[in-house]
Amino acid sequence: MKDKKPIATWRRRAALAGYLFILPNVLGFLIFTSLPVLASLLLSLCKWDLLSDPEWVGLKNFGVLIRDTDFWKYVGNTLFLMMAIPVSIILSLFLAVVLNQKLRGMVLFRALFFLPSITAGIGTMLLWMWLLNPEFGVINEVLRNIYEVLAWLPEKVGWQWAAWKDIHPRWLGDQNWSKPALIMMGLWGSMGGMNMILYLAALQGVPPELYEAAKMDGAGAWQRFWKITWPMVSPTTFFIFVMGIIGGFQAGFQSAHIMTNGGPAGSTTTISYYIYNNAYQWFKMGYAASIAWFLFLIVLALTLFNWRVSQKLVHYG
Amino acid sequence: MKVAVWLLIAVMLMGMAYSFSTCRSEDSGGRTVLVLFDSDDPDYNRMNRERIAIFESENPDIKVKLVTGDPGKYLTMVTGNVAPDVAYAAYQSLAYYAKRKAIRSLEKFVEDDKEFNLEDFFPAAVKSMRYRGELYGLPDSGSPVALIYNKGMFDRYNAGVPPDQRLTYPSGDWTWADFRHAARVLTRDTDGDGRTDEYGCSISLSYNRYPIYVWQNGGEVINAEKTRSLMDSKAAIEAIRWIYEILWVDKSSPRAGTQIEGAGEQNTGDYFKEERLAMLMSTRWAYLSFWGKTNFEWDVAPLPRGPVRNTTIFIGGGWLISKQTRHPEKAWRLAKFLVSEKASEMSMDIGRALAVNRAVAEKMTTDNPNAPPNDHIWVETMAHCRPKDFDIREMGRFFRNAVDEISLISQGRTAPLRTPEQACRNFTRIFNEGLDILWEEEGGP
Repeated sequence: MKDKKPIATWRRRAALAGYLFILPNVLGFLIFTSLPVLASLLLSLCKWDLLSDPEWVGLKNFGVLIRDTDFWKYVGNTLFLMMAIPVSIILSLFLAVVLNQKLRGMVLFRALFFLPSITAGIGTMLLWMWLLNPEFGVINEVLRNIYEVLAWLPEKVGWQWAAWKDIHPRWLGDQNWSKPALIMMGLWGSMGGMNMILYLAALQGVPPELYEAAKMDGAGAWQRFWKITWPMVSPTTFFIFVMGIIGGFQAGFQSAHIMTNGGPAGSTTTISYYIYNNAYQWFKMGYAASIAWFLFLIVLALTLFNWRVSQKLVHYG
Repeated sequence: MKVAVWLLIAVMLMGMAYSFSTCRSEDSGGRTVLVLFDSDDPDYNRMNRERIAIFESENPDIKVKLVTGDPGKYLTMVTGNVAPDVAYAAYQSLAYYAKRKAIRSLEKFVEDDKEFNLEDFFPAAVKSMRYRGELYGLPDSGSPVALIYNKGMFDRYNAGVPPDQRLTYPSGDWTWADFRHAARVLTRDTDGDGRTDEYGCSISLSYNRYPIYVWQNGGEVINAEKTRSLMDSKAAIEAIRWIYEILWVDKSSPRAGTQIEGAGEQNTGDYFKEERLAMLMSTRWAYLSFWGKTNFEWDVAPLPRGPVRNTTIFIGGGWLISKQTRHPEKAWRLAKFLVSEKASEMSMDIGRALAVNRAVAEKMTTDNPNAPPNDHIWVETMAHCRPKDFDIREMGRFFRNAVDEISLISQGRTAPLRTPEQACRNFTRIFNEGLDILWEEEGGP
């Protein structure tokens, strides 16, 4: 018994020291994250213009939100932009498979493809605005040249290609093309980014003997990919997909703020940009908080759904 | 271990002490500390530090602490009860702060201060700082919208046509028809590929621009009581039709996509810099895009005269004094200094906007060797410009949706998504709906 006392004291001290070390982080989390989250929940039940006293309105903000046609339009915009997620996953995996080859100079290619992720967002967005310029932009110039090249053949056989001549879209200036334009820009940035790095790491964790055994059994390249690579990287795919969904619902603010101001005609306004507009442009803080909480519920529900589905589709080991 | 714990506690205490020290209103020398808030633009920052040094030397009882940031930061500071004593704000946000009594009325200061004279400032700028007739800010700077044009593009056109078809440079005598004709003939496909290479003008459908033509045609965006939009009036529809014809009939202005609302001016400024645009309707801020960066001659002229009124829009801002300040008299001294000739002159080469102190504006546009020959046009235009009286952003999505309706005139591949009549009627309906809800909530305008 005598010997145990100093050990107990030491343990208490060690525990105390541990708690003290994590105290700043815990305090920071409580003060700067938990409290604002709780405050936003309360605010969602109030009408508040930031300078006057908040006025309790109960669930009125949520009632207005349900009937707000603009909100549902912006949910639609957000979902449309999220169509880039599966495409981005496929492209990232493709890139990772290509860049996983043991060839000379591969490190350089990996760095090049990762470059868009570390390039300043504002700079690339301004660049894309010029690329997407309908009159003088490179993208439409390329489309025009493609038309010129393709035009002569159908004309020879008497096909009417006149309709194709005006195919070059007005991109950010056209509410039908503005979202595809943003998706295109997003894919450029995301396919070689963190997703590619995660896939590269996952690919390097696939035991080579699986491929060797498959080869010996006569499996082709596609079969090896589909039967070995795809299941083996499925936890990574699941992680990227879930994070993509969560990020996708919160995305679109930067491009809307810098490139389009949410237009034309609200076609690039996403949920997060609508929250920003309500809070800081129109001073409807309570309403903005209610949208944020609604968004949280959507993301939570979808994440839980993904989790359930994943148990059937994801292979761990 | 003990040392680590004490170190941690000491750091936390020091942090708390520092945060309290920033709230003090006196420094160690007994001077009153005033907090000045302005843009975080590096040029403004440098200029403000120089201004502060002069002010402190003239007012040894005051120390000025400069805080920089965007309007969101200012709003956060006001909300957090640590409002800066004096802050710069665009005039559109003045009503929001004044209505909620976050800023002080300056009427009494102006009345009591015999050294200060509001007559020294352009009336439009002073008007923009009023809320319900009461002065809530001191006007600092701004700009009306005028016509910036490329002289070389006019000269090149004139060289290829008979003398009786030659264009004069834009002037205050131009009518809408003169402007439209010039824009049409200056729009050219220089390489014969069937696409426009040079545009005659830029007509923006931003809500900082199209009201000009509505006003010029005798219309109004909103009635004087601010209870009803008047955009469905004949005058307003005709004005929007005029814009529509430039965009779709003459095709002498780039359309949506090349002019993105919000970023539009920057784009058209670039077009102008690249000699793809002959006439740019813009503010003096547009100089930033091409001042000292062009190898062609350019100048400024007033906008064409409207059929009914000769007017244009004014955009600008000024200095507000917080209701929370504990030193209103000293804050007044600082705000008054910031709009004085001495301080305003220091902004001459910074933002390219116009100081709204008349004497400084005169000097700015006549003494500057880099300025275009007719730079004084900005001063002359100040005499007949007006601030936006309809910018009621608290209407929220209704304001945004109404404004979007007008911008739809510019959209579409082969035809606009809205006719002028549809756009104006939709604008009026949405705007009025927003006004009804807002004024019901707030108990009136």
